Amino acid sequence: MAAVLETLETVKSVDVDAYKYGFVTDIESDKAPKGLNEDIVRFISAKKNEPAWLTEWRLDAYRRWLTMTEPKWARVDYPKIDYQDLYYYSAPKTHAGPKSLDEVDPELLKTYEKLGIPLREREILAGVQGAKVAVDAVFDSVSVATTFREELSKAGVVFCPISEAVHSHPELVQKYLGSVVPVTDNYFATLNSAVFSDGSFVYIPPGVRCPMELSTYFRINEQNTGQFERTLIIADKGSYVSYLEGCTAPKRDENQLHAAVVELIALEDAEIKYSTVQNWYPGDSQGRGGIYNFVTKRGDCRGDRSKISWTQVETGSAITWKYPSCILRGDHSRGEFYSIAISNGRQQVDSGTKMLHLGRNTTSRIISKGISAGRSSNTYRGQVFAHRKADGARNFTNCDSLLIGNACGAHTVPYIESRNSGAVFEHEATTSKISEDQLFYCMQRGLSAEEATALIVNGFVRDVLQQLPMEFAVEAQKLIAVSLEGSVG
Amino acid sequence: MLEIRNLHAEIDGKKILNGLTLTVKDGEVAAIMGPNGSGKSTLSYVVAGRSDYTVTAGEVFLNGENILELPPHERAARGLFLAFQYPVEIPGVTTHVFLRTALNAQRKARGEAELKTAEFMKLMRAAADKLSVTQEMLRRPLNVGFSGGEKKRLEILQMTLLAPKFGILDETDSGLDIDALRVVSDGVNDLRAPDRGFLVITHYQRLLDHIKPDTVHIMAQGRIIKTGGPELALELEKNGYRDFVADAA
Amino acid sequence: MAVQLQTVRTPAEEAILARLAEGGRRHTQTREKAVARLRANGLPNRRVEAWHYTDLRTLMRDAPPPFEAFTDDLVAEAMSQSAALSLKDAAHVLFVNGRFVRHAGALEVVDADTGDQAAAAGDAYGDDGAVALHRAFAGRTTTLRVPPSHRSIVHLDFRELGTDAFSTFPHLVIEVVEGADVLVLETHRGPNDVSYQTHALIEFHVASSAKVEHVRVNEAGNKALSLSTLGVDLAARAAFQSFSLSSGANVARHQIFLRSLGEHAKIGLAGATLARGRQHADTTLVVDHTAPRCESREFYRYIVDDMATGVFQGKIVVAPNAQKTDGGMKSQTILLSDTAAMNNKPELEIFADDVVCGHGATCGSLNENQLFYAHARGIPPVEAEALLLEAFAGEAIDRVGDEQIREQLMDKVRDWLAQRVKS
Repeated sequence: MAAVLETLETVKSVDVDAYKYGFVTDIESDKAPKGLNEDIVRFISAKKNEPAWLTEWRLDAYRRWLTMTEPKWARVDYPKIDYQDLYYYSAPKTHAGPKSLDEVDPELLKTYEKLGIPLREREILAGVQGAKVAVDAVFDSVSVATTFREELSKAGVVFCPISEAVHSHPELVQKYLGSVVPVTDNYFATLNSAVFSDGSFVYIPPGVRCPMELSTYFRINEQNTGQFERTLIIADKGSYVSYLEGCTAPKRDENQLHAAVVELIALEDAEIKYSTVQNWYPGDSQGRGGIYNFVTKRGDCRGDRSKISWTQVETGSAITWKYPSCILRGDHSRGEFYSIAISNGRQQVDSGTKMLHLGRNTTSRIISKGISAGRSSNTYRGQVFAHRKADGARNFTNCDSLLIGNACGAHTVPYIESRNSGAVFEHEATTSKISEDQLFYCMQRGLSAEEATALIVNGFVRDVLQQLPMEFAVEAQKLIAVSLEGSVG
Repeated sequence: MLEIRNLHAEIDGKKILNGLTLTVKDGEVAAIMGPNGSGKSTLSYVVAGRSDYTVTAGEVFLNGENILELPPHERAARGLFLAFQYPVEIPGVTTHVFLRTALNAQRKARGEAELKTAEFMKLMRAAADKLSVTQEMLRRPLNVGFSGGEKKRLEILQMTLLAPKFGILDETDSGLDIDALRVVSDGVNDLRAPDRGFLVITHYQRLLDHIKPDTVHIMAQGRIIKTGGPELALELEKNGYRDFVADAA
Repeated sequence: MAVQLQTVRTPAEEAILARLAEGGRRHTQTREKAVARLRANGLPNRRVEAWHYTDLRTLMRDAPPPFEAFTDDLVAEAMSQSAALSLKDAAHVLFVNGRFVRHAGALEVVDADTGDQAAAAGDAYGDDGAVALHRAFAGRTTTLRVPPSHRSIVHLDFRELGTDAFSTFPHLVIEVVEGADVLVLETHRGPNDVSYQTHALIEFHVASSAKVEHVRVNEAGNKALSLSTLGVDLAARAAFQSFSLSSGANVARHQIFLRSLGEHAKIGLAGATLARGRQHADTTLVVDHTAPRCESREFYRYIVDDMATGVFQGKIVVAPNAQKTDGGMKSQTILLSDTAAMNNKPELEIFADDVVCGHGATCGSLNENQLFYAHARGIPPVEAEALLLEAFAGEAIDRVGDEQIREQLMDKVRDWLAQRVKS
């Protein structure tokens, strides 16, 4: 028992305060006044010089939001959010729509340097030949740089801030915005619809295989700022895109709100692979500070034989409320959800997915690995549904939880709903701890208790790590070790 | 050199080792034989540092250093290797990744440079070939779905790679057919060296036909009750444990 | 919504509240609490997580009056009919329209007008809306004490009789003393085409090292709304096994709230549900491990045909100190028609780290390979299906220890399948 105990002690003492990305960048910013009302919504819209239809769309969302209440069903507990005490718009002051990276505030670029190189951005900027990744960086609420634009546009791929797409590709934005996550979908999505300030827009034309990984890097910098980015990805017939998303935020004593919406649309034979490594500030060991992450992510397999795959590595945030889902509308379409959710300190995670089988012969696969340590709470919540018409639907779900220490909780709440006798659903879930035998075996071979724990945990999550693009997988593996051990750096 | 002096150990309040004393010199292969429940496996666990056993008295010296206060991984780094009777499965951790991690952890602990991937692969391949461990096996998760023979071969492969100063083989012959037994024994014999000692724990004589011991110790009720040469094992095989144990009691 | 949504009361809710306002019932703390709860929350509905799949607000169209007209003729009529299942050598305890009538055999039975018994049993399920409804109306409590002698066999025989809609709320407390060993058969049978509603609340207090095998057979009438709550408290080293065969009622919900209060308790829950037509059949269980080193196994099988709906909700809870808990749950469903539906919610709620818990759930149709194999051996399709379905349900019934009961349960499955072949 002692070896485990020792590990536990180490994990317990893990200094979540030693968050690696917890610095603040000193940049002047342009903020709207605190609080939310119709004027603020109009202000945001005006700042972006939006067409009237979008201003109305936002106002409609805002009015509906006023009639809604915060959802309470998730297993997360947090003090009441004062929505009037937040800034809803914050832009780096020097921002004037940079045409190239040279025009970007050097302070900002320095920030990305400090963030480490999960996205190999510095190499890219320096022209070093590494993995080619096109990056759209979102700082607080505003998209500040999109690299590799020219090369992408040669392939016909549109990758730009959504604020720009509103002007450059209004017909696409108007057609697809809110078509997967309706304005009134849920409290946080509605709020986002009213106040979203920026995010990424991607359009892959028919038959095009996007020549490189696309990536967005999110960072919350300003104090008391809500971040409400909005991402819209459309993969036209027969196209393919792999999209990566990374997130960090500085250390703060106050909690910061993050309520993003991501909409994916895959038309016939198209495939979207969406990967996230979420490492928002989790708060300190006492639960102070940290990001409240209320995110709505949903993909619509609209065309036959389309495919959407979500992979997420969730290690950050004080509160995670997130269910990347797939609507399997097209016949033979496929949805995948691969998730690693690690909670430590006083983090609370309620995350999972929905696989809604509407079309015939649709298939889905869910692999969820939850790891709870410290005094955290980690819940998998997932729904698998087969419509009466979803003949031949198949789902396989596997949810495993690992507990490290006896002050945390691990919960599994699946909703498995079948309306079709031709649908086959299989669900398995287990909860266990790292066995004393495994620890001792590793230690006999020379690994310390911490190294052994990290190794075993990495084995536990391997099925999911394999789904990540290589450079992300390496980064994620390190992040897992850091989240659990506190061996920062 | 492994020196065990008057070792007493218990688990959950139950006494298993009762004053065990034993010395195995460099270059020596010592065999411990004993009936089930005599405490053989406990001895290997206690020497390797498994924490659910409590040592109530005694000392264990590895090359002159008392290792009882060290955690298992530091004992390993000082050159102690235990080939497990039941090697543990670790899902998701590829065998070769595990081997490299272990080797480099030990090298690092000893202040040696970590091996580059290419160097390691070369070393591993050479050892694997000798023990008929296929590359396919090395790509599988550690011990997961391995047969009994495969697991034991892998234990010896690890011992070869980690090149310990002292190896304890805990019932390495159990679950092996005659071919596997030969492969495993050859692997161990190859590692015999003037500066390396072995403690071979076994229930049966047959392993000792392949790994010839210098000394044979009979263990019962948590201590060594008789010590002799290889002839002792043959005597045991003929007459069984009963006489020895009865004499001791 | 910014404006708190005031749900409009349904006719059933109105009727219930009006009847409670009439008074005439003893005022006890338990009842007051239950009534207040009903006033505030109404009937359990889909907004209540535990009732999401069985929305009583929708399913309970009306609230018929509690049955009051007990006569000797009624009892005589009940006795002239057969029970849903028979058991030799059992102490026979008869309930007619929810009221304890008589018992035969060596068993201590006390039947009394004691509204507060429910509260004394602890409030592990006091939050449940259906239990609140039961407590608001239940009047009497029947207490059975199982002696520590040789194995006792008890048959709780519930009969519903009548031609007009009515409701019944029987309440039983079964005390199983230390070291006792008992087999409890609980059967329910009622008339077809009568919209009666029944809710039996049965509470087991199982003392240390006692052993209980419980088998429940529900053959309520085809228009009945049948609720059932089983509350179980287990002391150290107690063993509790329960099996339920559900084929009756229009709407059926069987809920089990089980707590292991002492170490080394052993729990085995199993069931087979057969649903057809427009039946709605729900099994909801909460197995709360509050003490270390307990073991629980749940095993449920559903066969759902026509436009019927099956619901399985199973929650394994492991409290922070309940180390070394070993919990395993499995639920499997075969849907026989494209209009049948199954909702499955197996939950784990774990607060201790040194545990091994898991659940598995599957839902699908009959195995094509197995069917084909049977066809290839000359078994016609209809019979092949029946054969496989019988085996499917049979694996759950195998968990019943008593052979006499097991045989009768298999006969019931065969009868059910035979009706399917006919139609």
